[in-house]
Amino acid sequence: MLLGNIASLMLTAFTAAFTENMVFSHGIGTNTILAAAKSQKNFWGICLGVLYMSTVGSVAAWAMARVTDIGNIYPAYVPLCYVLTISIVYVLTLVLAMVILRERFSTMKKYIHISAFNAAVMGTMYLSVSECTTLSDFLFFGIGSGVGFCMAALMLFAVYERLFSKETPAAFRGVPAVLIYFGIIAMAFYGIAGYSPSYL
Amino acid sequence: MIVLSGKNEWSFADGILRKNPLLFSGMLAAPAAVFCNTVYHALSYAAVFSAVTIITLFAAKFVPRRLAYALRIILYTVLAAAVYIPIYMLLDGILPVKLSSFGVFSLLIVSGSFIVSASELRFFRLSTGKAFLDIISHVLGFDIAVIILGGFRELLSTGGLFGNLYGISVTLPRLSSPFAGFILIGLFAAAVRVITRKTTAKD
Repeated sequence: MLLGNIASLMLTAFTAAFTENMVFSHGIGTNTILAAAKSQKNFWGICLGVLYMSTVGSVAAWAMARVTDIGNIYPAYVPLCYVLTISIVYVLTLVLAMVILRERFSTMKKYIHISAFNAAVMGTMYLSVSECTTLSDFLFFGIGSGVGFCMAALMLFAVYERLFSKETPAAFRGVPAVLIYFGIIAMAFYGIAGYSPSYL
Repeated sequence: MIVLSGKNEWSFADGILRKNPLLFSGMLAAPAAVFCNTVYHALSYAAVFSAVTIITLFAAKFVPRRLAYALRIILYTVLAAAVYIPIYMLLDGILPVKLSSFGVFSLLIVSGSFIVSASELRFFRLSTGKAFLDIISHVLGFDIAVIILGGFRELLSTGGLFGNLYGISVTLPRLSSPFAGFILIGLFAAAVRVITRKTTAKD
């Protein structure tokens, strides 16, 4: 029974990281990944920030879903519910970081800013509400999504210099090459998942 | 003839071509690659995105800069989410696609990087009139790109446009998938870059 539960949670995290990868299966978070891969200095700060926000945001989404009965409210109000939830997480995180990090807060706060209001975190919160039922599901889905984001960022980081270098033809250099690269990797993930998202 | 600006000059065409948010910086690539795979999807998404973004960014211009950055960010996104409500009520039923089908991409309209980065890095530097034109130019740039791409993908993946099939026997159904969306946006961005460079060089 316990082993079954652990296996189920691991599968939830695995699904979020690979087959439901926010970047390659849903295309969400590409802009934040570009910001992360741009410099070695900020790479881990942004990745850990998104991992933290995905996890905490997913748990907050669990609470929000219970308070608002999000599945049954008028769809026009849905974005506001998510925005208010992440705003609370954002402010609490800033306060917590200020207390814990003290002198290092001024250098670390930019990672909190970048990580809070971005598509990857909002996407994780939204998908966790539609795919998870228990609190532990939400928690592991958030962790899995964060890990999936870090994995995708690492994949871009590995080739970032080459895609932006002068060796790449001028027309494709930078964003066009990145998008084509994402497309090719997404094709591989699509092959692993072997399905089309429900909204297609 | 569209006039393109030099490096430091402002031009209305910049947001449409040279600094197109989708093709130049990859902003909103997710809805463009995943959701906007038909003309109707692209038109509906572009309409809601345009209305919410233009109203929010114009209002955001009046958010005092002396407020803490964290508060400004919260204000922008809450403002966008609040603007989304009447826009949704107004356009749902008028547009060809039900707005509830936007799903996760409705969140990207209100909290995506476009609104935050545009209001923090670009529009506040310009005068009110110029900022308004700049917002329209960037939004129009996204709309045009996403509608052309959506039409192209629908035509090649289903053999039709606007939901009507024209009996084309050879189709590429996988062009409607997210990975094909990314690849097509990348190719389209490269093509636009070549065209704008040639135009600038001629001028």
